[in-house]
Amino acid sequence: MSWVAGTHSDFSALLCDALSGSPLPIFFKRTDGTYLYVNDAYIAAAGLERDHIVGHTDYEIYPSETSKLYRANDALTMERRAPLQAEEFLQVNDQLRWFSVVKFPLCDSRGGVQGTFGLSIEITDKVWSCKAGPQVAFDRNQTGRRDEPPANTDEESRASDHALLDAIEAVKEAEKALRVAMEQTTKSAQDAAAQSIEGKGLPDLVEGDLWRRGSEIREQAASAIAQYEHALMILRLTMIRGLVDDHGMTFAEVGRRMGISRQLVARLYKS
Amino acid sequence: MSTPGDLPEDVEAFLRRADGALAELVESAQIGIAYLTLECRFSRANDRFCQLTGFDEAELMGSELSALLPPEDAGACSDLHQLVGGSISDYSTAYRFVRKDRSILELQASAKLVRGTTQAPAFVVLVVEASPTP
Repeated sequence: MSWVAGTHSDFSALLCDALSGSPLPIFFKRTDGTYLYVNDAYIAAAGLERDHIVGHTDYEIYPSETSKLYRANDALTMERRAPLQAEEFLQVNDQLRWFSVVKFPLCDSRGGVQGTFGLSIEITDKVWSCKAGPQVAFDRNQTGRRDEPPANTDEESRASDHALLDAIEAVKEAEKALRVAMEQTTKSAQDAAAQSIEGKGLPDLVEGDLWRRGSEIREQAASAIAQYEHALMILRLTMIRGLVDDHGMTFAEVGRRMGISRQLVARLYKS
Repeated sequence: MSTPGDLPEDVEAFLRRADGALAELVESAQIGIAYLTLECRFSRANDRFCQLTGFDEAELMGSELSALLPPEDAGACSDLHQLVGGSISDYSTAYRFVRKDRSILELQASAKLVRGTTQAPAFVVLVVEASPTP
């Protein structure tokens, strides 16, 4: 290759061409999150002008929740001084797009971290195909809308009703799982108290089945709560969409009915 | 329970009951449960969690988890930062908590990331219990 025998500037020019022409979105950021460079593929993916990105931070470009995720991954990359692979999302013209991102710390000659470098591969189709049950219908419906939606057709209404029933079933299943997990925490606490009365000391508890089970039970409880909370979120969103799309209610009417603000309804609906 | 013909009222009642059931299960649990925001601040804590740490729920609200750890354990939150960043979905670890009376209590903790409707990180569930004492 010609640059091997050439100058540093030859290499820099070649590198710039390679980055610019890459089909994968690529960016360079300072430690404070200011974008130094984005390639054409990044601009196309973000749906923004270069001037709206370079020289600006995530918080100035993207919604707060998205920016928090980006910055948390940047911080982790710089803190660890090692590459980080993460999934990040981007909302472009109401379309939610997912990317698998690899971030690297940018270090100077003295080893000081100067920022991050990242490249992304879009995985939106994979994410949709991995989602189960009603979420698929929902998330697909969430895209491509701006404000008050058009009325649903009968077929869409039936699909919406079925999504609602699926969401209700998911909540029921999650509640069952949480009740089982909570019963186990109660039993575990009772067993621990009983063993304590029997005079078993720390080594018996730590090395015994009871302690190992304690760890599993905590993990199971945390997962069951997370599953329940997620199922409730899906149900709330499904219900809001049903009231708006099928029953023609405005965001304000739905908000009054559910005891939440119009703004929150709109945000949930378009989330 | 619900059929497509009579959804709105039934679903609202179901949702209220399900919300209430979750709150009751969390509150009455014999294991410490707390919710953390993506900024690693407490947004909810059940009675057992408050009993273990010595703080009441109002005192915990808005506090960062790291503020309840000894200064020398500041690095113990790296798992939590990975969790809120979406790099991992759960972890188990031991935390040394500084209780309200300034005593130190070791807690075994399991944390799980709760994702929102778009699968983006929403908040964290932290389940804890006291480590056995010799």
